[in-house]
Amino acid sequence: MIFFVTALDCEAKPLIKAFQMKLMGGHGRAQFFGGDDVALVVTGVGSMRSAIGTTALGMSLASATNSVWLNVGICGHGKLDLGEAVIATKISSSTTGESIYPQCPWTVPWKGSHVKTLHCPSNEYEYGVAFDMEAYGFYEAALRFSPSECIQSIKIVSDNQHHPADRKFDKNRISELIERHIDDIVSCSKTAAQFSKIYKSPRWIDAIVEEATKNQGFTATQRIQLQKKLGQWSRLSEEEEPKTIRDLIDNAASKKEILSRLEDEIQGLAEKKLG
Amino acid sequence: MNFHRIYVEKAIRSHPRSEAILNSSPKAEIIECDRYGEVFNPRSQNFRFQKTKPSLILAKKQGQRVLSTPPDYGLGADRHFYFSHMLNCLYDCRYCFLQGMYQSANYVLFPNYEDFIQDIENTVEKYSGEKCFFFSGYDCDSLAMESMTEFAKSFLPYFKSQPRAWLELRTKSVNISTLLEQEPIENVVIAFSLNPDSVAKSLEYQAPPLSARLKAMAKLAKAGWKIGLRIDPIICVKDAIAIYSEFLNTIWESIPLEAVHSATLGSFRAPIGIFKKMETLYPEEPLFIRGLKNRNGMTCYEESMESSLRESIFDQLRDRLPADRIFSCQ
Ligand code: SF4
Repeated sequence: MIFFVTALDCEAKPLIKAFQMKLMGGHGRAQFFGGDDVALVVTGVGSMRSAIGTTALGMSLASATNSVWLNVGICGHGKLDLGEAVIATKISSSTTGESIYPQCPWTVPWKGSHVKTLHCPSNEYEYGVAFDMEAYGFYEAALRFSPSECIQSIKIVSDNQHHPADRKFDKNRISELIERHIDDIVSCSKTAAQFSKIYKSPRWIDAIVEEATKNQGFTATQRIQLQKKLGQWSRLSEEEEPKTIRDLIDNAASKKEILSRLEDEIQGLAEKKLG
Repeated sequence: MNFHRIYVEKAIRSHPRSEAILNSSPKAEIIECDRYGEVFNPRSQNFRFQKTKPSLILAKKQGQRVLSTPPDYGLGADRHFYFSHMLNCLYDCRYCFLQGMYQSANYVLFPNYEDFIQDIENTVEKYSGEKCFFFSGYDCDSLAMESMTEFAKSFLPYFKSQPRAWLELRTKSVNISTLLEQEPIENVVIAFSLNPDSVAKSLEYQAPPLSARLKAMAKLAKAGWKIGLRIDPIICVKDAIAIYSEFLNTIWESIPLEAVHSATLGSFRAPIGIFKKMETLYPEEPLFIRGLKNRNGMTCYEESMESSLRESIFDQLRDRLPADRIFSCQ
């Protein structure tokens, strides 16, 4: 699943349109939108608000773990032209002085840039550095749900030393700046989602664990064991349909037998695969 | 090598070796940091994801650069030490403990070789009168990235000048031109990690195939270099005894016995915590599922599964090599 985080609704607008998302609630001032395997939160301006909105969205959906998290927004830049996009390679907090180094093991169409997250707007541009007000808070919060490789901050330059920021946001212009990069953002988010899929178990596992817990009275520990073994079995067997497993559960005389027969199946498959 | 990102500690940026590497990577994005640990150590990183496209980190190795090996790891010298000019490896062996030990798959290179050599020299002086063995290739492959690191090229002259200090270059690489360009050095052993072809194919991703490693070994042996055979870790595959027996025969056919300095045999083993991480990274990996058990803080094969294979390999090594050239790591 892909999670987007923006500060402003005008930054979110092109994403909402591209992924056909609908309003689905919120948390305080943060608004949540959702679509097919995608969600978005408009957090409001500032690092703290971004962190709160990111956490709130993540906590509201179980699928947030090991998912893709993308912060999309505008920035000021001390070198680049208006409309250029960058991906953060280093994010520093002007409040704490600390830095995070997002890892990005796939190809992206954007240049990398150091992004400094400020606590208030500034027109003092630093050569080669992007300024924003959210990336650090977003990133720290998203790390609670996913590894660094799945979390990226993409910034589009809305002001620089030749065109300093206006105190009043021109919402249409901001949407337009994001819109220009929407195809790249969509394709980058889908590539990233492919990576994170490695760790997603097929949905039937949850259903079988629920059934077994209800029908056989599995304890919490046995439930975890069953979940892990089913994950191993599904990866080794590559079977899409869990018919073998359903038969195994139906024909076993006890919870213990289910787990031990499943273990035998897994050992057999592992031996075959290892050669 | 082409890196998309190179992180560089401010303290090492102007080191000539850093500059050469940065200049040879014009397309890489250069990102400065204060300490490499800021990039390498954060917990929320996924080794498996990063392994698909690792970045390079250039850092100054501070603190202890030369360490004593655990007591069971040795090759019969008076003292054994190891040092790591690099963390992480070009190859991707599924059994490799590095993937469980480090948070990041990015390569860390410490270009301040002169400090390592100084420390090695100090160690040799400290234990004057004793034979000291230095192992390289504990946290990386010694030769795989030679074209960029020039590690062997930089360290060999010291060992040539100091016969009391022995060096083992542990590798799976066939990058041996630096070695072939010079006369063999008496106190340097080129130790190849080897496994049967089928095991290498299914577990040693990106590493040169067994046949290429054997060819490289043969060339080095012919040139007069001492060769180490490192059968480590042995893997309990189906028909393992027959497979390993055929594999050993291939080795004997490839290099003359006189060239073999030593052979070591190692079991698959990892501290439980490290193994758990490896297993989490690759939940579909059959190696991590089959026949393993926790024993004395380590995850390893069940004794019953491994002992006959170990014995069989040991017997075959003993048939060919004197007992004092065979070592075991468990
Ligand atoms: S060659 Fe050695 S260091 Fe490299 S991945 Fe394989 S086991 Fe690890």
